[in-house]
Amino acid sequence: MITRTKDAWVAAASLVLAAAAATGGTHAALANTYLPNVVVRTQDGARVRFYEDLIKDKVVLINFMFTSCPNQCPRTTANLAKVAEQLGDRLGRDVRLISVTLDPATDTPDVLKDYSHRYGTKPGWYFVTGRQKDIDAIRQRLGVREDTDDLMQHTGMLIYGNDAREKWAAMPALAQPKAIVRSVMPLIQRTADK
Amino acid sequence: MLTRRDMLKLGLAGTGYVILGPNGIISRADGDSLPASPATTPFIDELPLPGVIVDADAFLDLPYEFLRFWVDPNTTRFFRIASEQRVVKFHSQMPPTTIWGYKDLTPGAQQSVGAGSGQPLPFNVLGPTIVQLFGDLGPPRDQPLTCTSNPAPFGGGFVVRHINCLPPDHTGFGFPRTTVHLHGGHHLARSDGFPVSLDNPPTYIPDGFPRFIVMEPPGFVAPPTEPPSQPTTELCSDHSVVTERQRLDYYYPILDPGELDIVRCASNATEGDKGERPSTQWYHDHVLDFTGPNAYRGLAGFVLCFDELDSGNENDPNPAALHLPSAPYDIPLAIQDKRFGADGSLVFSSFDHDGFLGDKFVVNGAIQPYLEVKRRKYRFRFLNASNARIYRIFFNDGNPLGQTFTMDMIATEGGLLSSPLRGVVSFMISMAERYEMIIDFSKFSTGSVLYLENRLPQSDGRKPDDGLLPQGSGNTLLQFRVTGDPPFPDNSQVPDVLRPFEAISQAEIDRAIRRSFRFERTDGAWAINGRFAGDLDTPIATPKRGQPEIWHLENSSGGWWHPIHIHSEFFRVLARNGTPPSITARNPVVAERDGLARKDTILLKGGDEVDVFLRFRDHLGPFVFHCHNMEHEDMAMMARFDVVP
Repeated sequence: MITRTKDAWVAAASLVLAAAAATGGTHAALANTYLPNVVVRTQDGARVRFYEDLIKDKVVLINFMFTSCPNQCPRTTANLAKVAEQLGDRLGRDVRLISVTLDPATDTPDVLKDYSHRYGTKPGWYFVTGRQKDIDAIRQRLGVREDTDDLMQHTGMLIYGNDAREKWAAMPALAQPKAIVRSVMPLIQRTADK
Repeated sequence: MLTRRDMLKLGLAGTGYVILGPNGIISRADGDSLPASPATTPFIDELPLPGVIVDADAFLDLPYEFLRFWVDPNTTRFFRIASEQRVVKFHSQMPPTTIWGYKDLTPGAQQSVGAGSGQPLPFNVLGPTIVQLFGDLGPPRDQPLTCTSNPAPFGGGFVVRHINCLPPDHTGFGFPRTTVHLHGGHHLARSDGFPVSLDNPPTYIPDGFPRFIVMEPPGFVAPPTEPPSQPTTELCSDHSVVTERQRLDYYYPILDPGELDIVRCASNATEGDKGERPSTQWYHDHVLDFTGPNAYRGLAGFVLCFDELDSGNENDPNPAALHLPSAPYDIPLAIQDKRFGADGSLVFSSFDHDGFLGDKFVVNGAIQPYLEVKRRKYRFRFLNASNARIYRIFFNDGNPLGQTFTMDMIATEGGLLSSPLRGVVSFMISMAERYEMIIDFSKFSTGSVLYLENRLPQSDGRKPDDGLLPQGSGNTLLQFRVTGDPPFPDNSQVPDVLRPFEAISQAEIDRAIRRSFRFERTDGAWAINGRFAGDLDTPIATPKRGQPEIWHLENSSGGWWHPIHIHSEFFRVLARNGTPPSITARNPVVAERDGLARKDTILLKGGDEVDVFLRFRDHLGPFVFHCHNMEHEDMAMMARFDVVP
């Protein structure tokens, strides 16, 4: 029997989400509950709120990784580096990359900074760490918390979306960089048109 | 309604299990993730029937390839359909709901009517029903075609001009870009609803493959690197001018597979395969990564197919006709599950990647409707148009201690069976599958009340829960009320031979190219053969046109079930898990057996391996195959294959 934990979809948050959906999207009402607004730290040591400071009104790409992950994560980060390259000056301006560590105890801001340097990441790409329970809440809400505690089984999905328009989708983070950019561009374009 | 104790006995507690009670009140075993839809009293609204599409005047501002090869304004039919936002009702007790739906733009377009009463209804959720006829328009299909080295436009078939009139600045789930897939069709690649515009579309396709295949919403401003989108003479319902990138013309030739090879003088041309005529198809949005929310918002409609055999007239004077129950006793049933907010709005979760489940059963756009029936035979065309819910449907009296009655199965996705499967107790129907059932109400007395009940519990988008619910648990889709004898005698028949076709010969099996596709999770994402699904820039296979193929489809992601849909051709199941599919009426996976049924969607349960036989004829170019759990499809569980000369 499947017992996938969905506890973090706490009733209160769900009610607000449903209420917002019901009214055709009262976006302001969602600010604190739509996505977890937990305090996290970036690779630069800055304390930011996950939703309000990183995602709100932005087009974002979110993946999950940890620095000691031997196989999938390095390939994914390298792949996203190519995505970042193809996004050019849109990265940071129109779109953000957010890589959330699954191993916050190990992946301190300094560790993440070293890691990001290895991939030559540019402004607009945030590596994020925080308290384990906050990281778990983020995973839960984005629907990518696995049944197992085995980090090697963690999600390889790239969640992407336009927060202002409440449009979200997902694709493999190891998909062709060109395909990732092609999927994200329409979200950016409509934002730019606004 | 089940008590919590009943559910514990069934092992259902603790899974967020949702039941629709007979009184329309939802009970749940424990904390489900979203609030329940408002309570609705079942069976107070009549089953709606979407309007039949109206022919538009011919329009010839069409792609060059259509005019060169296909469209003859004297024999081709023309339709205009907009994707639009509109307000409808799902239930008379619920506030109106804003949906995205297909709309017939031709003057005189028909609204939904009650399937029994014929009275107008406000349940305008489904798009207009396209009724497709083989052989009554265009060149006669019953005479042998001849090879001509320089053929004139072939004629026949139909053109649909799809126009995207969705709100460009929309906020909420779904994305207002569209492509349209006519599901079950054997059509041009360019008209197949490829999910994404390709930067480098293939150039070898005689029918062409447009650079821009995705329709943009109104007000689209092309990026500086692309040509601007010019205004056209088309208008959306709000009179706004439609630009080129907002619309796409789709041509559906309605040829039997193989006929095109004759016309084009192919060396391996054989007679067209009339045994492959479909009967129930549907069209729905197919845009990359957002098919689930867009179709959930309402972008779906029926295509019903007829010919001289299945003529849609039970009183047909033609002795060769089958005389199956016909309109108004031939009724399509689009089964969906949806969830609603207190104000009637549709609720969806973009972060439920396993597959979104609703808590209200919706049939043809109405929540748990009723249908008044006469004491005679009916033909019901079941379509599972849900995102992620699999059903097992029983016909019964709704009483926990009462009776279950049998149905006769006559068709699957690939059209009529070679002979009916009689005495079917229940059937399982996964997403996008179609099954057609004959129900004979003549054995029930006037005043009888009967039900279509889904007894398959499912609390997670991954797959159904174990076991079956007891009869009368309340997961009722539709109520039948037997109101009396029909006004005219029931002349309909269900003959022992429907549309016969031969088993695949051993010789063809021997010369088939074998390919294997493993659907799996690799590096935490969907993959096919270890390769990341969703790479639509390059084909995973390039089957040669006309070449027999056997595809081994394997579900290696044990915790998930995947209904796999292959575009362009029907297939036949040779084996499931190494053995030929069963044929007993008690087995819900009845209709797979080679020689009995053709399919375009096949359910792979956890660990299942299925061998299917297929052959790609006529149409070259890129198509896709994918999981039809729409959330899996939107997470790139899809691959491209190119049919090559």
